[in-house]
Amino acid sequence: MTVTRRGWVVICSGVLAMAAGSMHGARALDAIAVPALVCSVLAFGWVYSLDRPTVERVGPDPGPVGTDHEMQLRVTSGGLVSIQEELSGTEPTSVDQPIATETWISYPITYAQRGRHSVGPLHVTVSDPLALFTRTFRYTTGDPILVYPQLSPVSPPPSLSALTATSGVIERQEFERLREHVPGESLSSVDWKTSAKHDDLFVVEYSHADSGGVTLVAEGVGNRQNVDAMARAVASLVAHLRTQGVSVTVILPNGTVSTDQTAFFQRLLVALATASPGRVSTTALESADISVVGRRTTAMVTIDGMEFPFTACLEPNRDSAHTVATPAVGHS
Amino acid sequence: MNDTTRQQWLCRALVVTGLSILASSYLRVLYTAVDIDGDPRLFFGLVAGAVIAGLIAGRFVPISGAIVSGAIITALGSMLYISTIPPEYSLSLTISGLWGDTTALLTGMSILRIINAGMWAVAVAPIPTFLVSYFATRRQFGYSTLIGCGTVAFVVLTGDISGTDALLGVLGGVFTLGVDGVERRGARVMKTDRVLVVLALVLVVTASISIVPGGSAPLGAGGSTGSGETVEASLTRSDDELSVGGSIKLSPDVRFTVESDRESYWRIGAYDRYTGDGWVRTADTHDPNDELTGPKSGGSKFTQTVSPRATLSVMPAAWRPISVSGPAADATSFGGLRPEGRLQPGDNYTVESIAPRHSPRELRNASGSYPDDLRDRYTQLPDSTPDDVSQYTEQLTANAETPYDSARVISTHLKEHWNYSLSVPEPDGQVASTFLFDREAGYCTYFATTMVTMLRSQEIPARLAVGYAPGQRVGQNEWVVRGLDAHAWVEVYFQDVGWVRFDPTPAEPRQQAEQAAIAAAREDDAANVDVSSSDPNETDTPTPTPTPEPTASTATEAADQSTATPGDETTPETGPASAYRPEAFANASAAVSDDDGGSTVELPPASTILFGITIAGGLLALLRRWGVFSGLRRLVWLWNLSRSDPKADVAAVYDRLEYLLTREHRPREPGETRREYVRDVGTREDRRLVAIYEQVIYAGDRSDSLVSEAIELFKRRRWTLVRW
Repeated sequence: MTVTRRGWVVICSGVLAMAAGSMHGARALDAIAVPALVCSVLAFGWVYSLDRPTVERVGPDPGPVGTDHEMQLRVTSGGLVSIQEELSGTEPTSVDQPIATETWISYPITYAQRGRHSVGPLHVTVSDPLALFTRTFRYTTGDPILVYPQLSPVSPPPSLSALTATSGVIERQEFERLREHVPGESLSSVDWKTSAKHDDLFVVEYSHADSGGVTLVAEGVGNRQNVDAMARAVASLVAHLRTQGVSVTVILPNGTVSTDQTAFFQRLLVALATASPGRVSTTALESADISVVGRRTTAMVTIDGMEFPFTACLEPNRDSAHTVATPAVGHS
Repeated sequence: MNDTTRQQWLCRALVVTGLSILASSYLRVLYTAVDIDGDPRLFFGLVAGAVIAGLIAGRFVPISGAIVSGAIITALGSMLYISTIPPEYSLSLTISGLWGDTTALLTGMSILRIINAGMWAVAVAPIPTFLVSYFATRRQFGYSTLIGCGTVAFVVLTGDISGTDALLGVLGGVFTLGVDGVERRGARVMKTDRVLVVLALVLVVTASISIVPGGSAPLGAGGSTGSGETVEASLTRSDDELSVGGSIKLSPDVRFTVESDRESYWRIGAYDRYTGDGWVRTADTHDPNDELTGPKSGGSKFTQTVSPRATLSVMPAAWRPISVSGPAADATSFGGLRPEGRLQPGDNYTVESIAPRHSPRELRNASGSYPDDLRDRYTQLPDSTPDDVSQYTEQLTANAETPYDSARVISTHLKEHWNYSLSVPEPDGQVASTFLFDREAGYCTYFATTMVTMLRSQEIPARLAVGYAPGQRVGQNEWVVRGLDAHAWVEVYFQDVGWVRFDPTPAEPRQQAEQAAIAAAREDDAANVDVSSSDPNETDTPTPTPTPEPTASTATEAADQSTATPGDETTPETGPASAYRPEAFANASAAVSDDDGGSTVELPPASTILFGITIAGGLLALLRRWGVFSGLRRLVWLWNLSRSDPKADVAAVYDRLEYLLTREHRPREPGETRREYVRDVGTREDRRLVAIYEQVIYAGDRSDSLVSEAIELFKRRRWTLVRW
């Protein structure tokens, strides 16, 4: 139980009123002293008798960097409530606001950084109606939030198109699976017929019986930014490939994800979200169809000996940087 | 406007209401000073300007700017105030002087005693008002409330605000804070019920207990009953305020005895500022006079020796004292004496006084032009004084050519046409006009106050003097003065002459009341009624003896005054015929003995109404919290079956049945039909009711008999509710 500044003012006014009265006559000082006393006692009793508030939370869904989400919670308490929470990987990184009790309230956050971030601790401050006394309770109930790498729509450079052409025959009559559209993906791959029947947008992923599939090997070295760049490139490229009906096997320093696993794209996004700096074996790198290396804060994509920065693959209205593909050194 | 916005605006309106109540409680106090001695229009203009300035500044000016603005306003106000201080008081403009002033105010000196109280109030009022408005605009209601309550605390410390009004202000502040807390958290007006509970609790407790030491009754108690108070106590207190109240009592205890060369009124002091319902002395906290000033010649000197017979905190002396020997004493700015400590029996003192020499001819010839500050000070009347007193006096003194004649006419008029009475109803606001137009009797304070008011309305400088009338003469040069001799009279200023005494209170009826009191006290063997020389045998009906006039001038006066009415001027009344009466200055909360015939119904004052609303609100909030209202609503719903159309009626009946079943057993599950549900939890009659329901609703059978049967079934059913 702490006394707020206001609480001190009230208590001191009461004491001063009594002192002034005893020194120079009561005058109307009762009109100050008695309310001060009553309010202090009432506030103290109120806060003292409050139970630990119950907190229910609904964490936001995972999503890519740059998307807006809401953190929802509901606090049940008999007093006036304020919450303070520490966050990471989001904008803002801390929240401190008074909230209404017994209803769901939400505050907005924007995902700012790829990764799995902890939420909390949450501090709930309860007070009496006049905010003279407060008590703070600590909670660690927040589920971590998972921020996927940024997804950008890809307009494939010639080498990529060539790869998809040779590696996959699109059989549009049979589709393998539907998955939810991830924000940031190109809208051209959305299956509108299916999406109309549901609330969300869905993307069709085609698969082929005997396509060899594409191996994509990726690594990010040095620091997080390199891994961020790599992750963004991988996610965007794979999304594109999948809509072209190409089955992909992705080899990352922290694991391998391949198409024939269930919920492939989601697993991939999770793997990419949690990826940390690391290397894959050189042989894997050399035998890959597509290799993506994140270094010096950019992702360099190598297809068929041609190396180019990932930014060259972006759709024009997104990122206007267009660099010419250069042959990679060391590859024939 | 959608619901959320509407709720927000409602909450904000409530917060503003709370702040307005808080601000108005201190503004009203400051206004009384402006009313008495200042310019009300300027006051309201500046306050309104401060509010608007705060609104504007709140939007655009950051905190630092607000502090600067506040300082500027304070500086401007100070300059305004200082520029209107009369020159003889500019001695006080030192740091220590200001410190002394502030300390005096904070330890209980009323703001009405400030020399130019009106201008002071005008200068002071905008400062907190600006700040309250500024912080309110920035939605920092904590600071607004702090400043508002701080100002209320200031007027509490000066003693100028009643407990009720102060409490009202404080409650306004608490209300503001509470509603602000709600408004920040998804404003919903219904959630302010907690605040109402707090307010009601504060109100009830404050009206019941008093915790400040040095206090008397709790604020809610009715206050002491007037008829128990001896006015002498409050008249002769060394206090600097005097309020005119209701009924009074006579105290027969002997206070002191005087040995004097001349009979005189034993004066304690005077009051110069009239507040409408009382008198205050304007302050002389740093009185430049430690000695008695004034010419030491120009009249006849005489000596008197006063022997206190009880503890006295005052030092009665004949007008005008020029020297005193005995216990340590100070001089007051009205030419009176004040002891430094209390005087006990045995602390005798001797005063040499000079009785001003003047003849009626000199007084008549005195010029009607007075020094400016003297005239301003002693012709002051509150702005809210009604004009009727002035008009009445003008008519009355139409034929009086000089101020002296006017004073004589007024004094005679009051003596002849009003009776003396100790039990009078409480005056409301304006003593003089109430006395002149609504009353037939009163006691000395009323007569004296009315005469001073009437004189001042004609721009004749006059003031109220208090002290003791001569008392019971027990020897050639000896008087016995009792509590019931405490008296108030009038002093009128004549240019080149000085202050001259007039006494407008009728002598005879008073005397009788007072003799009766003494006789009753003697019968009851009360202590302190007599000293050795005031034996009952000798002094029951004292014979009036003419006062010996030692000097020639007064002899001519006596001759000139053959037609003078008794009680006027410096020749005091002879013996017991003097008009002296115990003064009763009961506190404002004296009980009223209302003997006016058709008294109109009076609404309780606004504060009481507001308090009533608050307590009611708190109770309602508590009831609501305990679900009493929803319970009642539910009960009414269950009992009230209005018939309209068969389908609607039967559906209504079924709904109520389902409510009962839900309370008794369980709610109906989704997907469960009514028939299944009732078959599971209901009685046979309930099943019959459902059958009727199906018949009417699905089969469309609209026969009245079915509906009536359903209603009958339900009516029997609902008595199960009573079982709980």
